[in-house]
Amino acid sequence: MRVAEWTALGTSARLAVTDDAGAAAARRAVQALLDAVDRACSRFRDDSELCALNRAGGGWTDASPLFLDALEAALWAASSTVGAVDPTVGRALRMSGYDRDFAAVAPGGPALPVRLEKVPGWRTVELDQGRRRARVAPGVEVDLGSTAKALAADRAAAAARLAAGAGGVLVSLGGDIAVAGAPPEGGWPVLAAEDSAAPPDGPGEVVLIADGGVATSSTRVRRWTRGGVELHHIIDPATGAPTRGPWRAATVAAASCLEANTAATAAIVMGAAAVTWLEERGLPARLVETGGGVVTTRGWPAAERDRG
Amino acid sequence: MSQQARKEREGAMVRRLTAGAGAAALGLAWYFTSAAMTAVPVAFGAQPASEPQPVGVEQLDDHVFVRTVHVPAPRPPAGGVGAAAGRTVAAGAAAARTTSGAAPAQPAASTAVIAQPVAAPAAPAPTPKPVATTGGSTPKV
Repeated sequence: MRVAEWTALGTSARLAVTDDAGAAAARRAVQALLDAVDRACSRFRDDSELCALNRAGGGWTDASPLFLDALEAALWAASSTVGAVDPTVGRALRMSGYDRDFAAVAPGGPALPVRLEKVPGWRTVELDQGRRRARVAPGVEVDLGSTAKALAADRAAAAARLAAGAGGVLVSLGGDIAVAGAPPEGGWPVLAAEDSAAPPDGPGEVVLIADGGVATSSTRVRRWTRGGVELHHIIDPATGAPTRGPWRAATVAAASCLEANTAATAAIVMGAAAVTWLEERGLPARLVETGGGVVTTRGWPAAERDRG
Repeated sequence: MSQQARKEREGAMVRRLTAGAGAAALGLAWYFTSAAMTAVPVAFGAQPASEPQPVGVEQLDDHVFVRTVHVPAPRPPAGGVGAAAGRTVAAGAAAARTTSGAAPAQPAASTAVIAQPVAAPAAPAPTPKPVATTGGSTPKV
């Protein structure tokens, strides 16, 4: 097995392949895909398609097939979670201080004039697949942070598997993990942690996945304060403010990384209702309470083999 | 139904559909639904997903239709999630939901205890070294 790690999309990209001979080609395929996703979906690049859409003032903007797919994925996430994961949180996210690449966000600052109000809602986003264009209502700012990285992981894994020609691949983008092809015997061992920067051989629970993806949403990893109030990047669409629910992290395994990350983010937003919501859909999940307690849903392995 | 009655009914349907399409073109067609959580309405001409299959259409009046569509929910992984030492728990298995620190329920004790020679338990399989970490992050997309 060969593993490579580098920086992409402002986070870490990790690629593991079971067939060493295909490693170089797989990495090139992943990087090409990530470059395309960055050009299409970054809200911190003035030349991205997303920024053009948000600047259009309600007018139609041309959209590449990849950008249309990313928008469609975001709208699916919103509709399948009854609006818990909504792409129109862009303005709320910016108003709460996360207005640039996180590395440049000041850790502290004065109080912000934040008004609690429901975000505009995903139905203000329109796609015209026939003419390959999209538009949002004036003033609405779309953010694809909850879905684009996971979608990229799925696409990158598929591209890497195709380029490698044989075996299996795992792609991790900042902790959003997708696998494709034949896994190692028993499955891909993955450490479930709150911070994707934790080394894979660090303390925590290790699970095995053979297909699909696994993703974690956490309110602990990126936080900043304004006026003494601690903020984070997961916005509750119902209030337009960072969530204040019972979970500080949610890890979900699903048929794809997109589905896993959608469910994980929805769990943080839904709060206590998330357990029922996840179990009704048969999604294996591990939820960490703000106090550190762990709740797992059916399908998630028992935690007797926690390490550390 | 007589041929004349059928023609009259078809004519009415054509007029109603025309009125509905005109309403959609004017941007009047945002719809509401009281359907289940997995079914949501979408507007004609502004499809948020790749043409989901409609599961019902209700006409409220000559101008407004409610089209209910099924939106697929997130699906569990086909292969489930395995424990690191190799025990696989299939998605949807009837394992009890657990909370950290909670002791599992103990089975009732047997009333007949018979000593049997048993083989020493095998050493637990080593935990495989993780290949990646899933955790929170905030990338720039």
